[in-house]
Amino acid sequence: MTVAEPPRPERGTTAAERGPDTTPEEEKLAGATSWSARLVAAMNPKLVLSQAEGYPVGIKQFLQFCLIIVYPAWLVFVLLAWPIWLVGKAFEGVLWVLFWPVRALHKKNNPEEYAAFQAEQKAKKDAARAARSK
Amino acid sequence: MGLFNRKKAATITVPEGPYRAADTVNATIEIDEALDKVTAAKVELGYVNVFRYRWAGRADAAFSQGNDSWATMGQVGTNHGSDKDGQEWVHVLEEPLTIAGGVLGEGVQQIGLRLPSWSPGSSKEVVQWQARLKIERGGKDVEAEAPLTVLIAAPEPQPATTDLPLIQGERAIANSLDFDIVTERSCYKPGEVVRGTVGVTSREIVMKKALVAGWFQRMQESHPVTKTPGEKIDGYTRPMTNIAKDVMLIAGQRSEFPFELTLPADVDPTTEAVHSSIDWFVQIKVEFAGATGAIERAQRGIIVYTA
Repeated sequence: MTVAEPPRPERGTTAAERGPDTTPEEEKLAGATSWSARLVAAMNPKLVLSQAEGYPVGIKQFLQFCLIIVYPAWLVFVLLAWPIWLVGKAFEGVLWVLFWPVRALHKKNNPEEYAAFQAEQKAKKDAARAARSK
Repeated sequence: MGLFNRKKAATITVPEGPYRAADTVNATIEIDEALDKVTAAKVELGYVNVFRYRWAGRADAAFSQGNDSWATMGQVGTNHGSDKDGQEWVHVLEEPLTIAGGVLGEGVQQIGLRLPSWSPGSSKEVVQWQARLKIERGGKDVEAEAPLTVLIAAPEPQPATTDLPLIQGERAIANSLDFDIVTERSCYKPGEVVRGTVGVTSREIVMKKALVAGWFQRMQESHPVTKTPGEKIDGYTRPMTNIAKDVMLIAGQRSEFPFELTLPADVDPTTEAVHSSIDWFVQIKVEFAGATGAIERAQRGIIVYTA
Protein backbone atom coordinates (compact mmCIF):
# COMPACT_ATOMS: atom_id res chain seq x y z
CA MET A 1 0.00 0.00 0.00
CA THR A 2 1.38 3.40 -0.86
CA VAL A 3 0.45 6.45 1.14
CA ALA A 4 0.69 9.95 -0.33
CA GLU A 5 3.54 11.75 1.36
CA PRO A 6 5.41 14.97 0.67
CA PRO A 7 8.47 14.64 -1.60
CA ARG A 8 11.87 14.55 0.04
CA PRO A 9 13.32 18.08 0.05
CA GLU A 10 16.31 18.54 -2.23
CA ARG A 11 19.61 18.56 -0.37
CA GLY A 12 22.20 21.27 -0.99
CA THR A 13 25.65 20.83 -2.49
CA THR A 14 28.97 20.48 -0.69
CA ALA A 15 31.91 22.79 -1.29
CA ALA A 16 33.57 20.09 -3.40
CA GLU A 17 30.47 19.71 -5.57
CA ARG A 18 30.22 23.49 -6.07
CA GLY A 19 33.76 23.86 -7.38
CA PRO A 20 36.19 26.68 -6.60
CA ASP A 21 34.72 29.57 -4.63
CA THR A 22 36.22 32.44 -6.62
CA THR A 23 35.21 35.63 -8.41
CA PRO A 24 35.36 36.21 -12.23
CA GLU A 25 38.37 38.53 -11.77
CA GLU A 26 40.28 35.78 -9.99
CA GLU A 27 39.45 33.31 -12.75
CA LYS A 28 40.85 35.81 -15.24
CA LEU A 29 44.06 35.93 -13.19
CA ALA A 30 44.26 32.14 -12.93
CA GLY A 31 43.49 31.74 -16.64
CA ALA A 32 46.13 34.22 -17.85
CA THR A 33 48.51 32.27 -20.09
CA SER A 34 51.36 34.76 -20.49
CA TRP A 35 53.30 36.57 -17.79
CA SER A 36 52.23 40.00 -19.08
CA ALA A 37 48.54 38.98 -19.08
CA ARG A 38 48.95 37.76 -15.50
CA LEU A 39 50.53 41.09 -14.57
CA VAL A 40 47.66 43.05 -16.10
CA ALA A 41 45.07 40.82 -14.40
CA ALA A 42 46.81 41.22 -11.03
CA MET A 43 46.91 45.01 -11.37
CA ASN A 44 43.18 45.17 -12.11
CA PRO A 45 41.61 47.21 -9.26
CA LYS A 46 38.49 45.04 -9.57
CA LEU A 47 40.53 42.00 -8.51
CA VAL A 48 41.70 43.81 -5.39
CA LEU A 49 38.16 45.00 -4.59
CA SER A 50 36.75 41.50 -5.18
CA GLN A 51 38.77 40.21 -2.21
CA ALA A 52 36.03 41.65 -0.01
CA GLU A 53 33.36 39.53 -1.75
CA GLY A 54 31.40 37.14 0.41
CA TYR A 55 31.62 39.19 3.61
CA PRO A 56 28.46 40.40 5.33
CA VAL A 57 27.24 43.88 4.45
CA GLY A 58 29.11 46.55 6.39
CA ILE A 59 32.25 44.46 6.85
CA LYS A 60 32.49 44.17 3.06
CA GLN A 61 32.35 47.96 2.57
CA PHE A 62 34.93 48.50 5.30
CA LEU A 63 37.24 45.94 3.70
CA GLN A 64 36.80 47.59 0.29
CA PHE A 65 37.74 50.92 1.89
CA CYS A 66 40.90 49.29 3.30
CA LEU A 67 41.68 47.63 -0.04
CA ILE A 68 41.43 51.00 -1.84
CA ILE A 69 43.97 52.39 0.65
CA VAL A 70 46.42 49.54 0.08
CA TYR A 71 45.95 49.51 -3.72
CA PRO A 72 48.98 51.76 -4.54
CA ALA A 73 51.17 49.54 -2.35
CA TRP A 74 49.75 46.49 -4.16
CA LEU A 75 50.75 48.02 -7.54
CA VAL A 76 54.32 48.49 -6.28
CA PHE A 77 54.31 44.90 -5.02
CA VAL A 78 53.11 43.55 -8.38
CA LEU A 79 55.76 45.58 -10.26
CA LEU A 80 58.45 44.32 -7.87
CA ALA A 81 57.30 40.77 -8.49
CA TRP A 82 58.33 41.12 -12.16
CA PRO A 83 62.13 41.46 -11.60
CA ILE A 84 61.94 38.91 -8.75
CA TRP A 85 60.38 36.45 -11.19
CA LEU A 86 63.12 37.20 -13.77
CA VAL A 87 65.79 36.49 -11.15
CA GLY A 88 64.02 33.23 -10.32
CA LYS A 89 63.96 32.24 -14.00
CA ALA A 90 67.68 33.04 -14.36
CA PHE A 91 68.38 30.90 -11.27
CA GLU A 92 66.39 28.06 -12.85
CA GLY A 93 68.60 28.35 -15.96
CA VAL A 94 71.74 28.20 -13.82
CA LEU A 95 70.47 25.07 -12.06
CA TRP A 96 69.61 23.51 -15.42
CA VAL A 97 73.18 23.96 -16.63
CA LEU A 98 74.65 22.83 -13.28
CA PHE A 99 72.65 19.61 -13.27
CA TRP A 100 73.47 18.77 -16.91
CA PRO A 101 75.99 16.06 -15.91
CA VAL A 102 73.45 14.48 -13.52
CA ARG A 103 70.88 14.21 -16.26
CA ALA A 104 73.45 12.90 -18.73
CA LEU A 105 74.47 10.22 -16.22
CA HIS A 106 70.84 9.32 -15.59
CA LYS A 107 70.20 9.03 -19.33
CA LYS A 108 73.28 6.84 -19.80
CA ASN A 109 72.74 4.48 -16.84
CA ASN A 110 68.97 4.30 -16.76
CA PRO A 111 67.58 5.28 -20.18
CA GLU A 112 64.07 3.85 -19.60
CA GLU A 113 63.56 5.60 -16.28
CA TYR A 114 64.97 8.81 -17.73
CA ALA A 115 62.53 8.72 -20.66
CA ALA A 116 59.62 7.99 -18.33
CA PHE A 117 60.61 10.88 -16.06
CA GLN A 118 60.93 13.31 -18.97
CA ALA A 119 57.52 12.20 -20.31
CA GLU A 120 55.99 12.72 -16.84
CA GLN A 121 57.46 16.23 -16.59
CA LYS A 122 56.14 17.08 -20.07
CA ALA A 123 52.67 15.74 -19.21
CA LYS A 124 52.66 17.84 -16.02
CA LYS A 125 53.57 20.97 -17.96
CA ASP A 126 50.93 20.28 -20.64
CA ALA A 127 48.28 19.66 -17.98
CA ALA A 128 49.13 22.97 -16.26
CA ARG A 129 48.94 24.78 -19.62
CA ALA A 130 45.60 23.14 -20.44
CA ALA A 131 44.23 24.10 -17.00
CA ARG A 132 45.32 27.72 -17.52
CA SER A 133 43.85 28.08 -21.01
CA LYS A 134 40.55 26.43 -20.00
CA MET B 1 -2.66 39.72 34.21
CA GLY B 2 0.61 41.64 33.92
CA LEU B 3 2.25 42.78 30.76
CA PHE B 4 5.14 40.33 30.97
CA ASN B 5 3.56 37.20 32.37
CA ARG B 6 0.82 36.90 29.81
CA LYS B 7 -0.10 33.36 28.98
CA LYS B 8 0.40 32.19 25.41
CA ALA B 9 -2.82 32.45 23.41
CA ALA B 10 -2.31 28.95 22.01
CA THR B 11 -0.16 25.95 22.85
CA ILE B 12 0.81 22.78 21.04
CA THR B 13 1.72 19.53 22.75
CA VAL B 14 2.87 16.25 21.22
CA PRO B 15 3.97 13.08 22.98
CA GLU B 16 7.78 13.14 22.79
CA GLY B 17 7.85 9.71 21.15
CA PRO B 18 10.10 8.14 20.00
CA TYR B 19 8.50 7.75 16.58
CA ARG B 20 9.60 5.81 13.54
CA ALA B 21 9.24 6.82 9.91
CA ALA B 22 5.61 6.46 8.68
CA ASP B 23 4.26 6.80 12.26
CA THR B 24 1.54 9.33 12.96
CA VAL B 25 2.24 12.13 15.41
CA ASN B 26 -0.87 13.28 17.27
CA ALA B 27 -0.56 16.97 18.01
CA THR B 28 -2.92 18.59 20.52
CA ILE B 29 -3.60 22.26 19.93
CA GLU B 30 -5.14 24.15 22.80
CA ILE B 31 -6.60 27.57 22.17
CA ASP B 32 -7.55 29.35 25.39
CA GLU B 33 -9.83 31.94 23.89
CA ALA B 34 -11.12 32.49 20.39
CA LEU B 35 -8.63 34.41 18.22
CA ASP B 36 -9.95 36.93 15.72
CA LYS B 37 -8.43 38.57 12.61
CA VAL B 38 -6.77 35.24 11.76
CA THR B 39 -5.62 34.97 8.12
CA ALA B 40 -4.02 31.54 8.28
CA ALA B 41 -3.49 28.86 10.89
CA LYS B 42 -1.53 25.65 10.47
CA VAL B 43 0.49 22.97 12.21
CA GLU B 44 3.86 22.29 10.63
CA LEU B 45 6.05 19.25 11.03
CA GLY B 46 9.74 19.58 10.30
CA TYR B 47 13.18 19.71 11.79
CA VAL B 48 15.79 22.23 12.80
CA ASN B 49 18.87 21.38 10.78
CA VAL B 50 22.22 22.52 12.19
CA PHE B 51 25.09 22.91 9.75
CA ARG B 52 28.45 24.62 9.42
CA TYR B 53 28.72 27.46 6.96
CA ARG B 54 31.23 30.00 5.82
CA TRP B 55 30.21 33.51 6.82
CA ALA B 56 33.34 35.45 5.85
CA GLY B 57 34.67 35.90 2.35
CA ARG B 58 35.25 33.50 -0.50
CA ALA B 59 37.02 30.28 0.47
CA ASP B 60 39.36 30.41 -2.55
CA ALA B 61 39.98 34.17 -2.71
CA ALA B 62 43.39 34.98 -4.24
CA PHE B 63 44.63 37.02 -1.28
CA SER B 64 43.66 34.37 1.28
CA GLN B 65 45.84 31.64 -0.24
CA GLY B 66 48.07 30.07 2.36
CA ASN B 67 46.81 32.14 5.25
CA ASP B 68 45.11 29.19 6.92
CA SER B 69 48.33 27.50 7.95
CA TRP B 70 49.03 26.78 11.61
CA ALA B 71 51.64 29.53 11.57
CA THR B 72 48.95 32.18 11.08
CA MET B 73 46.43 30.68 13.47
CA GLY B 74 44.56 33.25 15.48
CA GLN B 75 45.80 36.21 13.46
CA VAL B 76 43.47 38.89 12.15
CA GLY B 77 42.67 38.64 8.44
CA THR B 78 43.28 34.90 8.13
CA ASN B 79 40.86 32.13 7.26
CA HIS B 80 40.62 30.95 10.85
CA GLY B 81 37.20 31.62 12.29
CA SER B 82 35.51 31.99 8.90
CA ASP B 83 33.10 29.13 9.63
CA LYS B 84 30.29 29.08 12.13
CA ASP B 85 27.28 26.97 13.01
CA GLY B 86 23.95 28.00 11.62
CA GLN B 87 20.53 26.43 11.64
CA GLU B 88 17.66 26.30 9.22
CA TRP B 89 14.09 25.08 9.57
CA VAL B 90 13.32 22.27 7.14
CA HIS B 91 9.62 22.14 6.41
CA VAL B 92 8.33 18.62 5.91
CA LEU B 93 4.55 18.89 5.89
CA GLU B 94 1.69 21.00 7.24
CA GLU B 95 -1.96 20.64 8.14
CA PRO B 96 -4.31 23.65 8.17
CA LEU B 97 -6.57 24.46 11.12
CA THR B 98 -10.16 25.41 10.47
CA ILE B 99 -10.89 29.12 10.58
CA ALA B 100 -14.44 30.40 10.32
CA GLY B 101 -14.76 34.00 9.15
CA GLY B 102 -11.29 34.95 10.43
CA VAL B 103 -11.96 33.47 13.86
CA LEU B 104 -10.11 30.50 15.28
CA GLY B 105 -12.45 29.06 17.86
CA GLU B 106 -11.35 28.20 21.37
CA GLY B 107 -10.97 24.64 22.55
CA VAL B 108 -8.80 21.64 21.91
CA GLN B 109 -8.04 20.24 18.44
CA GLN B 110 -6.30 16.99 17.62
CA ILE B 111 -4.32 16.74 14.41
CA GLY B 112 -2.57 13.66 13.06
CA LEU B 113 0.68 14.23 11.16
CA ARG B 114 2.19 11.26 9.38
CA LEU B 115 5.99 11.21 9.30
CA PRO B 116 7.24 10.52 5.74
CA SER B 117 9.13 7.30 5.08
CA TRP B 118 12.31 9.28 4.31
CA SER B 119 12.36 11.11 7.67
CA PRO B 120 15.93 11.57 8.95
CA GLY B 121 16.52 10.38 12.49
CA SER B 122 16.76 12.82 15.40
CA SER B 123 20.30 13.57 16.50
CA LYS B 124 21.73 15.71 19.25
CA GLU B 125 23.72 17.92 16.95
CA VAL B 126 22.19 17.94 13.48
CA VAL B 127 18.47 17.16 13.32
CA GLN B 128 15.93 18.27 15.94
CA TRP B 129 12.35 17.41 15.01
CA GLN B 130 9.56 19.79 16.02
CA ALA B 131 5.86 20.28 15.53
CA ARG B 132 5.13 23.99 15.14
CA LEU B 133 1.88 25.88 15.46
CA LYS B 134 1.67 29.04 13.37
CA ILE B 135 -1.27 31.40 13.51
CA GLU B 136 -0.99 34.44 11.26
CA ARG B 137 -3.22 37.26 12.36
CA GLY B 138 -3.56 41.04 12.42
CA GLY B 139 -0.99 42.15 14.98
CA LYS B 140 1.44 39.71 16.49
CA ASP B 141 1.43 36.18 15.02
CA VAL B 142 1.02 33.33 17.46
CA GLU B 143 3.73 30.69 17.31
CA ALA B 144 4.36 27.66 19.50
CA GLU B 145 6.43 24.54 19.13
CA ALA B 146 6.92 21.13 20.66
CA PRO B 147 9.92 18.81 20.25
CA LEU B 148 9.70 15.14 19.27
CA THR B 149 12.12 12.30 18.68
CA VAL B 150 12.28 10.29 15.47
CA LEU B 151 14.26 7.06 15.20
CA ILE B 152 15.81 5.95 11.96
CA ALA B 153 15.73 2.35 10.83
CA ALA B 154 18.53 0.48 9.10
CA PRO B 155 18.23 0.50 5.30
CA GLU B 156 16.29 -2.44 3.89
CA PRO B 157 18.00 -4.59 2.66
CA GLN B 158 21.17 -3.91 4.63
CA PRO B 159 24.10 -3.22 2.32
CA ALA B 160 27.13 -5.50 2.36
CA THR B 161 30.05 -4.07 4.32
CA THR B 162 32.13 -4.16 1.13
CA ASP B 163 29.59 -1.82 -0.55
CA LEU B 164 30.44 0.91 1.95
CA PRO B 165 33.47 3.09 1.21
CA LEU B 166 36.96 2.01 2.24
CA ILE B 167 39.07 5.15 2.36
CA GLN B 168 42.86 4.81 2.42
CA GLY B 169 46.06 6.10 0.89
CA GLU B 170 44.93 9.73 0.85
CA ARG B 171 48.25 11.12 2.01
CA ALA B 172 51.41 11.55 -0.03
CA ILE B 173 53.75 10.67 2.83
CA ALA B 174 53.35 7.85 5.36
CA ASN B 175 51.56 5.78 2.75
CA SER B 176 53.12 2.32 2.59
CA LEU B 177 50.32 0.05 3.81
CA ASP B 178 47.31 -1.50 2.12
CA PHE B 179 44.39 -1.88 4.49
CA ASP B 180 41.43 -4.17 4.12
CA ILE B 181 38.86 -3.49 6.84
CA VAL B 182 35.81 -5.75 6.96
CA THR B 183 33.11 -5.58 9.61
CA GLU B 184 30.74 -8.40 10.52
CA ARG B 185 27.67 -6.38 9.45
CA SER B 186 27.22 -2.98 7.88
CA CYS B 187 24.56 -1.56 10.24
CA TYR B 188 24.84 -1.07 14.00
CA LYS B 189 22.86 0.49 16.81
CA PRO B 190 24.54 2.82 19.33
CA GLY B 191 25.97 0.74 22.20
CA GLU B 192 26.55 -2.33 20.05
CA VAL B 193 29.88 -4.06 19.60
CA VAL B 194 31.36 -3.80 16.12
CA ARG B 195 33.42 -6.87 15.29
CA GLY B 196 35.56 -7.30 12.22
CA THR B 197 39.01 -7.91 10.90
CA VAL B 198 41.64 -5.63 9.46
CA GLY B 199 44.11 -6.99 6.96
CA VAL B 200 47.34 -5.00 6.63
CA THR B 201 49.87 -5.52 3.85
CA SER B 202 53.05 -3.46 3.68
CA ARG B 203 54.38 -2.52 0.26
CA GLU B 204 57.76 -1.62 1.73
CA ILE B 205 60.29 -3.34 3.96
CA VAL B 206 59.36 -2.61 7.59
CA MET B 207 62.08 -1.98 10.17
CA LYS B 208 59.92 -0.92 13.12
CA LYS B 209 57.39 -2.57 15.37
CA ALA B 210 53.89 -1.19 15.12
CA LEU B 211 50.79 -0.64 17.20
CA VAL B 212 47.40 -1.36 15.60
CA ALA B 213 44.47 0.52 17.15
CA GLY B 214 40.99 1.64 16.19
CA TRP B 215 38.15 4.02 16.96
CA PHE B 216 35.03 5.40 15.30
CA GLN B 217 35.19 8.44 13.08
CA ARG B 218 32.21 10.74 12.68
CA MET B 219 32.23 12.92 9.59
CA GLN B 220 29.78 15.78 9.49
CA GLU B 221 29.48 17.22 6.02
CA SER B 222 27.97 20.62 5.31
CA HIS B 223 25.83 21.14 2.19
CA PRO B 224 23.50 24.08 2.80
CA VAL B 225 21.03 25.00 0.06
CA THR B 226 21.74 28.76 -0.04
CA LYS B 227 24.63 29.56 2.30
CA THR B 228 28.27 28.80 1.46
CA PRO B 229 29.23 25.34 2.76
CA GLY B 230 31.69 25.19 5.64
CA GLU B 231 34.45 22.73 6.34
CA LYS B 232 33.76 19.08 7.16
CA ILE B 233 33.84 18.37 10.88
CA ASP B 234 35.42 15.12 12.00
CA GLY B 235 35.04 13.70 15.47
CA TYR B 236 36.29 10.53 17.12
CA THR B 237 35.08 8.26 19.91
CA ARG B 238 37.99 8.58 22.29
CA PRO B 239 40.01 6.81 23.57
CA MET B 240 41.39 4.54 20.85
CA THR B 241 41.13 0.81 21.49
CA ASN B 242 44.35 -1.14 21.03
CA ILE B 243 43.98 -4.09 18.68
CA ALA B 244 47.55 -5.44 18.59
CA LYS B 245 50.83 -4.29 20.09
CA ASP B 246 54.45 -4.76 18.97
CA VAL B 247 53.50 -6.08 15.56
CA MET B 248 56.31 -6.70 13.09
CA LEU B 249 54.86 -6.43 9.59
CA ILE B 250 56.56 -8.22 6.72
CA ALA B 251 56.69 -6.62 3.29
CA GLY B 252 54.19 -8.11 0.85
CA GLN B 253 52.69 -10.41 3.48
CA ARG B 254 49.17 -9.85 4.73
CA SER B 255 48.67 -9.76 8.52
CA GLU B 256 45.15 -10.04 9.86
CA PHE B 257 43.93 -8.68 13.17
CA PRO B 258 40.42 -9.27 14.51
CA PHE B 259 38.99 -6.25 16.34
CA GLU B 260 36.12 -5.49 18.67
CA LEU B 261 35.06 -1.88 19.17
CA THR B 262 32.07 -0.70 21.19
CA LEU B 263 30.02 2.08 19.69
CA PRO B 264 29.12 4.57 22.47
CA ALA B 265 25.46 4.57 23.48
CA ASP B 266 24.86 8.28 22.91
CA VAL B 267 26.12 8.80 19.35
CA ASP B 268 24.07 10.42 16.59
CA PRO B 269 22.88 8.07 13.84
CA THR B 270 23.99 8.20 10.21
CA THR B 271 22.00 11.14 8.89
CA GLU B 272 21.22 12.53 5.50
CA ALA B 273 19.45 15.86 6.03
CA VAL B 274 18.94 18.81 3.69
CA HIS B 275 21.75 21.05 4.92
CA SER B 276 24.16 18.59 6.55
CA SER B 277 24.82 14.89 6.94
CA ILE B 278 26.68 12.54 9.28
CA ASP B 279 28.68 9.51 8.13
CA TRP B 280 30.30 6.97 10.43
CA PHE B 281 33.51 5.03 9.84
CA VAL B 282 35.61 2.46 11.65
CA GLN B 283 39.07 3.96 11.54
CA ILE B 284 42.14 1.77 12.07
CA LYS B 285 45.60 3.20 12.56
CA VAL B 286 49.00 1.57 12.39
CA GLU B 287 51.52 3.53 14.41
CA PHE B 288 55.18 2.61 13.98
CA ALA B 289 57.37 2.78 17.07
CA GLY B 290 59.85 5.53 17.75
CA ALA B 291 59.89 9.31 17.49
CA THR B 292 60.04 9.17 13.68
CA GLY B 293 57.47 6.38 13.38
CA ALA B 294 54.73 7.28 10.94
CA ILE B 295 51.02 6.84 11.61
CA GLU B 296 48.96 5.36 8.78
CA ARG B 297 45.19 5.28 8.78
CA ALA B 298 42.30 3.82 6.83
CA GLN B 299 38.55 3.78 7.42
CA ARG B 300 35.56 1.68 6.42
CA GLY B 301 32.05 3.13 6.43
CA ILE B 302 29.38 1.75 8.76
CA ILE B 303 25.74 2.74 9.14
CA VAL B 304 24.44 3.72 12.59
CA TYR B 305 20.68 3.44 13.06
CA THR B 306 18.45 3.94 16.08
CA ALA B 307 15.16 2.16 15.36
